[in-house]
Amino acid sequence: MSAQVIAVPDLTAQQWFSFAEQHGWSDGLPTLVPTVEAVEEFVEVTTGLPASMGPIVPSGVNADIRSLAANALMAGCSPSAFPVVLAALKAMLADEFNPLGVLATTHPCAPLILLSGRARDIAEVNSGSNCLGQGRRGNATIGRALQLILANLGGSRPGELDKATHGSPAKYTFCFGEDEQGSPWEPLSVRRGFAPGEPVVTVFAAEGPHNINDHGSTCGEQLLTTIAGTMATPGSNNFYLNGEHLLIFGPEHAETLARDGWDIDGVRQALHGLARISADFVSAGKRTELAARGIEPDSGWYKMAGGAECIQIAVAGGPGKHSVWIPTFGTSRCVSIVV
Amino acid sequence: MTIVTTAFLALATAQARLRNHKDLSFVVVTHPVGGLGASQLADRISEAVPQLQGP
Repeated sequence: MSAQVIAVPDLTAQQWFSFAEQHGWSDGLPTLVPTVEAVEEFVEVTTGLPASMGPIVPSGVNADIRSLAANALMAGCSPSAFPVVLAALKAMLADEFNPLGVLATTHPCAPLILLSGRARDIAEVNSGSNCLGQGRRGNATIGRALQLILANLGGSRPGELDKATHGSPAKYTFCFGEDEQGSPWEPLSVRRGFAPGEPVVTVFAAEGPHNINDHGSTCGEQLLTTIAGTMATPGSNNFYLNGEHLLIFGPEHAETLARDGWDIDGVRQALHGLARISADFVSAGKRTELAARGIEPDSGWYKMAGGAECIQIAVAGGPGKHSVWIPTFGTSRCVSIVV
Repeated sequence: MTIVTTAFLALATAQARLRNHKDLSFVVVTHPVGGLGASQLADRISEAVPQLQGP
């Protein structure tokens, strides 16, 4: 599909909001007017990139760069952040992300966009206090741009091809940066094979964030017990699907673990061993379902389905004794690419 | 033969088209199927059987 220029009557911002909503181009929030001149500003920053990103799922529409730019602009993105949006789109269209499943499922997953290295500077995202919340343009608009592209070009509209039972606030936008300076460990992007500082986008099919409050633990081992207990919940897709978990350690929790000699591999192994669910909390019907998948309890305890390698770890956030567990869709793998 | 519930027919049709199976036919039953008791499940089977047998 090539971008079509649509003649729109002279509208106020408020009238445009209603106009776009009536045409099904909005996520319910106001959008900016994608004038030809404004779209060209976005196209200028994509010099050297392909003129099309290929078919956008689930519609299969082969969207050109101007159609993509119009949606990023409508979302409120800055032109300089547009290459980050395109990288996130490319990552989530990879087969291992399972985009058709992620977009169609009844599960409330959203494409989470985690930025590492110089991608954080390009996009001007928050990786500190309240990085999963409101307050910064990059965080607020990059995820939103991706969602508008998926809805307006991909056809992934709620209740139609997006069959999420409840959805999640994360489906408006879910984008933040790693706090590489505040982390005692190598960034996720480096552990995934990229050079330090390289601008990397990693996408996950993620639920909303689940807080892990632990003010009481005084050592790493105690902290891991709390985190594992939070991860072990029978209602999670991660319980029975071989899916990934994303753990976002607050810098203070990360520092406690590092102080006590825990490296990333050690943390993953420990959590995999500790995150267990008592069979007493699993219904008879659910046990039958699990057994059909070859999942049985060991001495009255179920392990979370995925192995230690399914636990992905990054550091972000501000001061405080909190970390975050983010379960995923399950039948999807995170994908990282360079911007 | 692919069985789909009414709530997911539009999605299934779109996915079939995207995966180059435009002519895939569906057996359509009332939503839901998961979590039903035996008698309700029997109703779904009654809906499905004539479709499987064809005209």
